[in-house]
Amino acid sequence: MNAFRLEGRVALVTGATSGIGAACAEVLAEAGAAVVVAGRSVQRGQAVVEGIARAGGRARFQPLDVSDDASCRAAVQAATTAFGRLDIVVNSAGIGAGGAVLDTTDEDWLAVLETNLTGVFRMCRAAVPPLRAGGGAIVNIGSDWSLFAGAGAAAYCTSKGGVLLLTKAMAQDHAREGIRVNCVCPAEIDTPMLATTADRHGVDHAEALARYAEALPVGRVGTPREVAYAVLYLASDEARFITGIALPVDGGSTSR
Amino acid sequence: MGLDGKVALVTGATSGSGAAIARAFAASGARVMASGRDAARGRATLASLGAAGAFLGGDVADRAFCDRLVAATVERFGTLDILVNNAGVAFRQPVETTTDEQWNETMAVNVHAVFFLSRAALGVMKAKGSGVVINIASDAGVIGTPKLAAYCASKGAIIQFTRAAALDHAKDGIRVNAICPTNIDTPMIEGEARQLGVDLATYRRESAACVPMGRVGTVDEVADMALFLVSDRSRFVTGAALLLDGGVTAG
Repeated sequence: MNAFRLEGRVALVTGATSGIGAACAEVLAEAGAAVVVAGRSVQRGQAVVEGIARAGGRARFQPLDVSDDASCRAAVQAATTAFGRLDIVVNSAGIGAGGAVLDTTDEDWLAVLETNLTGVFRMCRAAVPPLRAGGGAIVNIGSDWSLFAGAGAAAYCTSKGGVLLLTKAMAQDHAREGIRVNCVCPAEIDTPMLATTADRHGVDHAEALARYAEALPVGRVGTPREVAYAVLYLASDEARFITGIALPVDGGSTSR
Repeated sequence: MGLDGKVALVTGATSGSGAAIARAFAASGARVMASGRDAARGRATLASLGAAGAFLGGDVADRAFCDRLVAATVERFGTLDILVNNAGVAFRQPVETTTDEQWNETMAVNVHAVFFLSRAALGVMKAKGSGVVINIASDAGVIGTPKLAAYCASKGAIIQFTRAAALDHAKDGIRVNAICPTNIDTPMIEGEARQLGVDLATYRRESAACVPMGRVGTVDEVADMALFLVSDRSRFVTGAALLLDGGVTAG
C-alpha cells in the first residue's frame, strides 16, 4: 500500500525539538519527506535529527523562534535552500500557561498569544509563497480547547481558538491555489508540556497522567505519535479534498 | 425598566453596534459609560444616553486606558454590572499581505483589550457576586472568511476566551457570552468596502446576497440580543456564542 507516502516532499515542523512536534518530524520523515526540524533548543533539535537519520530518514535542524519574524522567514528560506522546495508546514510550536482571567498576568497572556497564535501567523505568511509554487499543506496544531474551553486556562484557550479560525480563514483564501490548511485538535497528550503543567500545579507526573486519563472517555492520554499520524494524513495527497477542518485527536473529549 | 440601577460599560460606543447597545441599555434604565476613540462622535453618543450617561475617550489598544476605563466607571457610578466588549477593527487582507502593524492592531483591540477590560471588570463583579460580560465576536469567529485572516483569528480567539471565562466564573454569579454577528450595517463595513476597493452599495449588495435572509443585519438587532443577554431571561445562558447572522452559518 502506497497511501500516506511523502517521497519527494519537503516538510518544515516548528516546535519540533520535543513532544508533538518531534513526533510529527519523525513520522513525516518515515513517510519519506525531507524534514526541517525547527525549534529553539539546538541540543534537543539535533537529537531529533540524529534519530531520524538513524532510522534512514532525511532531516536537518534549523534554529527557530516564532516570536521573531526574521527567524520565521529564515526557517522557510532554509527549507527551500537545503531541499529545493517546501510542501508541508506543521505549526506545532506552543506554550502552555494556566490561570483564570483574574490570575493571568500581562506577561503570561502576551507570551501565550505571541507564541501560539502570532507565531503561527508569521510562519504561514512566510511559507505561502513557496507553498503556492507546487501546492502544499499547512497543518496547525490546535487543541480540543480550540473547540470547547477548559477551566483555568483562559490565555491558552483564547490562543487555540484563534489558531482554528486562522486555519479556516486561510483555507478560504488559498483553496484555489492548491494550498490546504487544516488544524489537528489534540486532547491531553503525554508530552513535556503536560509535565510542565503538572509541575505548575504541584502534581507529580504520574498522578497528572492518571488524572487526565480519568477525565478522557477512552481512559488514557494520547501519545505524540497519535497526533503525528493525523498530521501525516492531512499533509498527504489522500487528504486532497480536505481543507479548513478541525480534526480532533482527543480520545472522545469533544464527543461529550 | 429592566436595567434600573445597573451600571454598564460599552466600548466602541461612538458608532455602529456599540452606540446602539449603549442607547438601548440607557433606554432600559441603566447608567452607561460609553467609550471610544473619536471624541466628537462620543459626544453624539453621550447626548443619546440622557442624564445617566458618561463618556470617556481613549483607545482600548492602550493597556493603561483599559484599567482606567473600568476604574472611571466604578468611580462615576459606584459599581459595574455589565461589560460589553464591542470595540473592534478589521483589515481585509489574507495572511500573505497582512502587515505586522495590521496584525498587532487587530490583536491589541479585538483580543488583548477584551482580556485587560474583562480582568479589571471581573474583579469588581466577583466581589459583588454578580455580573454580565458580553463580547462582540463575529460569524467570522465560527467560519472562515476570505481576505479577513487576522480578524477571523481574533474572533475565534475571543469565542474561546468567552467559554474559558464563563467556566471560570460560572459559580461566581457572572455570566460571560459572545454575540456573533454577520455583516451589520455599520461604519465598519464602509471601511471594509474601501479596503476591498468596491463601492459601498456594491459591497452591501454582495454582503446581503451571502445571507440566506437576503440582507445585512442592523445595529438594533445586535442591541436587542445584548438586551437579552443582560436580562434575567438569559439567567441560565453562559459560555454561549450566539449567532446573529440571518442564517449564514446554517449552511
